[in-house]
Amino acid sequence: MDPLSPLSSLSYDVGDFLYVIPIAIPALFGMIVLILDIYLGRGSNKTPLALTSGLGCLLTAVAAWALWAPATGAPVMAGTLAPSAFGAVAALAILIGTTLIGFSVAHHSQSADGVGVDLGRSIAHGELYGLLLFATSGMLAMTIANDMVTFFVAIETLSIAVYALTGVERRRARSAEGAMKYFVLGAFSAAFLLYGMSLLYGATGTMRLDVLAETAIKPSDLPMATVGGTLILIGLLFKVGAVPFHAWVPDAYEGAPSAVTGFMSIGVKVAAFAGMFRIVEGLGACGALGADLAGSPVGSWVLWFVAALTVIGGNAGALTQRNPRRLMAYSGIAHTGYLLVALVAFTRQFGHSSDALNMTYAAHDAAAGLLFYLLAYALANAGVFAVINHLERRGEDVDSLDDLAGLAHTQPRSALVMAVCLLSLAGIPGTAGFLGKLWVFRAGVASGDVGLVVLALMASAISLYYYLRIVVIMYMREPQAGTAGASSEDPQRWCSRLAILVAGVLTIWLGVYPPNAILKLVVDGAQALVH
Amino acid sequence: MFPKETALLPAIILIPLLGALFNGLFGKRLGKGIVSTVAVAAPLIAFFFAAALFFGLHAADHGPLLSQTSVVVLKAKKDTAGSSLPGRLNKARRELGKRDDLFKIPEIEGKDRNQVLRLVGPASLAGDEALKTLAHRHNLVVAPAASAAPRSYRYNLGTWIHVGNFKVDFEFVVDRLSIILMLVITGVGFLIHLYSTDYMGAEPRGTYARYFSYLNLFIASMLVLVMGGNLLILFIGWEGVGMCSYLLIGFDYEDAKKAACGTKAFVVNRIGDMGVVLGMFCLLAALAETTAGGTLSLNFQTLNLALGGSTLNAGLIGAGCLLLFFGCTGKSAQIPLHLWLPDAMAGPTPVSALIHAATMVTAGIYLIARMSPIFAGAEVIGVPVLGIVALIGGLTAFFAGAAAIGQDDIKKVLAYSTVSQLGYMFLGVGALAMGAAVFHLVAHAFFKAVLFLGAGAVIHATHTQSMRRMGGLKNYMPTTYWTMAIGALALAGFPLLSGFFSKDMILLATLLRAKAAGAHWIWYVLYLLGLGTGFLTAVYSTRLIGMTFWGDYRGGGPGGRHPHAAPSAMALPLFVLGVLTIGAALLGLPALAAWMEPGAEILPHYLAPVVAQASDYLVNYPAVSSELYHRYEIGGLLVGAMASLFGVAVGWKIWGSRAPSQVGWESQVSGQLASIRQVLANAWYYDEWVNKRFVQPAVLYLSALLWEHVDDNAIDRGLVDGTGRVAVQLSLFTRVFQTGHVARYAAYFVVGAVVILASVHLYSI
Amino acid sequence: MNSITTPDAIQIVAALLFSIGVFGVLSRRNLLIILMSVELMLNGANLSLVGFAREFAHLPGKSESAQVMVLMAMAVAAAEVAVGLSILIALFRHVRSVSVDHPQATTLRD
Repeated sequence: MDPLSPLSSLSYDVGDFLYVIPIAIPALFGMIVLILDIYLGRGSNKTPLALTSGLGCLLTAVAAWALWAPATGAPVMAGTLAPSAFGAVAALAILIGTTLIGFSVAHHSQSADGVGVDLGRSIAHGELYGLLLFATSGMLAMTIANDMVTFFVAIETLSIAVYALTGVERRRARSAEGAMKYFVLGAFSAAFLLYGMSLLYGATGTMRLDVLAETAIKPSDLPMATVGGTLILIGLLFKVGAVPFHAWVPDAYEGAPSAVTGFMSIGVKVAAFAGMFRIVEGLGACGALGADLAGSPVGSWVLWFVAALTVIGGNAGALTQRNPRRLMAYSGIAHTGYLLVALVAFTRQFGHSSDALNMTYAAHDAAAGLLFYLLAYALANAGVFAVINHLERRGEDVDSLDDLAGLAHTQPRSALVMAVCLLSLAGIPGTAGFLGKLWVFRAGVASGDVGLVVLALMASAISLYYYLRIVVIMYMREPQAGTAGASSEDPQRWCSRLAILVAGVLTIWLGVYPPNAILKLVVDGAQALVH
Repeated sequence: MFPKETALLPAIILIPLLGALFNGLFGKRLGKGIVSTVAVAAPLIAFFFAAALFFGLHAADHGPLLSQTSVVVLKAKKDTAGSSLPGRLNKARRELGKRDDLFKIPEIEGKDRNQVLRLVGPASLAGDEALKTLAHRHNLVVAPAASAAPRSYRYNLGTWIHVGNFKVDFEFVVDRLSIILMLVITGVGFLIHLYSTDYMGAEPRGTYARYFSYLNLFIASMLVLVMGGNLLILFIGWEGVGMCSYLLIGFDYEDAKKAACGTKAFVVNRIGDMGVVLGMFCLLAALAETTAGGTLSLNFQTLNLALGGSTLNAGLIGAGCLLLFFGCTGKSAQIPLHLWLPDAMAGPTPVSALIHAATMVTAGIYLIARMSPIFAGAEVIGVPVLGIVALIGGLTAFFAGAAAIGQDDIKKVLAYSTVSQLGYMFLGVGALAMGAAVFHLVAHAFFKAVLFLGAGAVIHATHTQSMRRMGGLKNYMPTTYWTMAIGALALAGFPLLSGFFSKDMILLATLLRAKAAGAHWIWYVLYLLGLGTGFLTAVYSTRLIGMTFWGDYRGGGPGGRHPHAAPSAMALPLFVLGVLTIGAALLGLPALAAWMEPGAEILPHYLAPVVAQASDYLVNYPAVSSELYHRYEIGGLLVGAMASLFGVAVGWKIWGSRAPSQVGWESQVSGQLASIRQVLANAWYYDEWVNKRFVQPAVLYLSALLWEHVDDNAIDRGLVDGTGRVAVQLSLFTRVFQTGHVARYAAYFVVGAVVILASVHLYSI
Repeated sequence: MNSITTPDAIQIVAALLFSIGVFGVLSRRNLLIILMSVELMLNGANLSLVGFAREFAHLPGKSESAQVMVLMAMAVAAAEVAVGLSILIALFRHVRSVSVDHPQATTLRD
């Protein structure tokens, strides 16, 4: 049937609804958590909420693996979704973030001695978990959206949930300030995104990404299409925090409570990158990325410079930070830069150069590298923030790196996982982050962007400084009384300890001997994206 | 099916490794009893496994020991088609399974048309009618087994490195050469572990566990070295033993002098290791050109087949072999890198016995024997590499042997003796007598272990290492005396002891090498050097025994205790090794005992199929059983015996039971020989020379230049600090933009968007 | 002005609306006005979408998606405003001002 006929856009195969299940489960569990919270009552132990949302995430992961992984990426649900292994891997990365971060804050409502209520913190757990799950639902939808309408709704679902999450710590001014900044700029960028979609639609007459990829744009409409495509790109570059659209990142990350920062740094970035690759595939194929005289997409060069600025800006900014959340914000910007290297390599396939086959291989590598990198990044960031969440108790917030001093003496296991995760972020061999970087940079070299890769490598060498500084503070300084680093292990918090353990073990496992199932899924995902 | 013997290969390495891990991790918290049990059990179990492999190898080639066996094969009849051959063979195999007189389960081997079923059974097998009918039924015929290459065990843990067409497997191979070494390593290793339980008994618990952890780790590394199936795995072991050696020389690391000795050994070895790595590169490069695009591996088998006698890339092969030998001079303490071994005596004495006498230092001989087909044909600008090997070996043997006469420290005597004996082995290797060299290696492992362990017992008893303060210990520690005396006699090459036969075999090989067509006259010099060394060896061996055991006890001083006899855990290994020292002679009885054919020269004969043979490479080289060979052999034995006996007699005459003060030679200040004695005591001033010519200038000029100017100024201040400063400035610059004003952020956004839109618009066609 | 067709006119108005919104966000310091400006931008985009949908009205299956998008965007905008206003109230409780440049609203920096 002609995909453009009105009938096809209305006809649903009932079986298609299966593909919605992984998106529906988090939303459903979000509501369950909200209701459960009412029954638990004020001041009680909120661990059941964490367990419930953990269960939801587990079910979602199973569903995503079972339903999306075997799919080929062909559009379903009247063209609104295109489930594939690509979406499944991205979903796994997102769910790693949601689950581990959710678990690591499970005991926050309890005071240090495990009895009364922790009045120092004003996070409402029901809302926290509910919003986490709603945002997760939006993120998952974003990874497989095949239609710009779906895409926009998904991105707004996650954004609005995360705006609210940023301000969830109502009693703190910094939380509200961070939320305000994030919200204003987020809404601003959403308008750019929407306007870009409108212009692209005006030029091509379709909202569907798969149809877009096969559309030949009239030369007279091409400028409008490129402007539209560029605006969409800008809207997404904002979401991933690329320079110069990154200014919200440090402020929002610092303002938000650590739990939310951890979630944001994983979920939003993974979903935005997954969505960006899918949209860029459509944009590039129809020529909306523009073409210069040499036949190479102009978008590639724009992204080249953005990536260069981002790796420099992110790493430079992180060097002199004292607040761990702010440091991780800049670190996140730097990682955006590394991933943009993959995006640059990915867009090279849309040029008309002579070695198109090699560029297709490079694009395949870039997509696979992106997926593996996202997994590694999700695990490492989850580990770092799980440790920070685990340490934060009444009066013992981790607002300065000095608060971590001596952690290796008081809580050696947490310090070890933190160190492993930081090394993974720095890309030290033996950790998942190394393989991710290797894969992504290999794609960059394969596509001919050696200069950018060299720049990224130099920048990541600089990044070692600020990652290792945390390790040094944890291992070589004496604990200072009254800080998180001086507090001893709290046996009550088994949930957060579990989260820490899982993050550490998986980071090493993926780095030393990645299981074949994961590698196959990653390669399948890349295959589904690049034909 | 029986459990596969190959499964023992990783197990043999894993057991000492686990022992090391166990003692290293938990030893400090456990008692000494558990630590020593684990530590001693590990090499013992490994030894049993190695023995199982040895018998397995033997059975694979000949059937069980001590029974009349025959090996036959069932193969396809000439005219039948080969397609269903595997099926027919399998059927025959299944039917044969009912026969209970076969020694082994029949095996199918070969490829395609040449597939055969191999049977090992009683001698009657060849004429067995039932077998013939069975064969006939399956369209097969019974044939005697063609003499195939001896079996080896191979265990591949999987691909280790695979880059492009370069592929290295993590594989272990056990063949005749490695199994001999494995038996020595685990066997002698076990005895020395046992000995150590008492020798180190006074150490605190943590130190005790650390010691045994290192020692087990050494055994594991050494096994990796000899079992590695390719150069890279060998190199893992090579580096592993180097590390263990370093750790154990500087074991008493609080003593700065001993730690410095460890560092010296490590640095000198590292210089040699560079040679190994470069040699590996050369051989790989040669292989790359020889195979032209095929899969590259560092497999010994592949290398030996592809590069052995290859005239293509002769330069690369020669350079590679020479560089590998340079690595051997480091590990096996030959000129010019021999200077670390005497200092290595800073380690505990059992360590000296195990690592710096019996096993690790022989790694160089093993490496050359392992790659002997390549070495045999390698030449560097017309000079055969093995000639260089022999020359270095001969010179080292002589000069180190002479230096041993000038030492007062009992361990130093043994150290120079070890260097000298290793030189002997290299002489043998250089003369293409790999079997003889390995025989001397084994014999040396036994008698030098006896000597070191005996010396350890003596040091343990007298609390000194200087022989001037010993003497007369014969009466206090008789077991030690007798076993050490046997060891010293064997070392001296006293007739009918193992050292006598092994040295003679090497000397004979050198002589025959000199007689071979086109041989250089230098070989005669080398023969004379070897003979002279034999004499020197006999002299210093006698001196060692004389100064230590004969005469009156000179130690103790006022209120000093009398030396005590060795405790049983120390005496037992001494005794066993003493017996082995005598028994080892059986491994290499001269071929002139013609009635023993073909068992004469047992060990070389055993090794012949796996190492290069002189007769394959040299013209006019007499066959082992030829008339000419016997004539030289008898002559050689007589001359060797005379040299040895003469040496012992000289030693007896000069030292005898006299105290050193009465011996003119022992005076370093007066007498005619004082200056010579001075030179020998300082080992020809080689250390001083190296220090003055190489180390000091390097420190003075090179390191000053590199440190002050290159490192401190350019790298530290310029690159490192500079990068840091630039990065910090960049960081502060970045932070300037982060004003906290959201409207400003929106402005960045818009500016970025406008710039991007404009550039897209401008650059799009 | 004769040369401007209706579809083009709609797009020009939409672009103007969007630009006014951008200008508003950049120039105003009052959070409420900024929120309104963002709404203006979204509505500019919406208008543009409706305009394109009208252009494609004669082609089967092309205009519906844009119309759906507009509906969705309006819903999303409403949700956004709800969250935005609550964030504004939360900020106001701490800062006692709705100015985004208030010193207490710019504590997160560097």
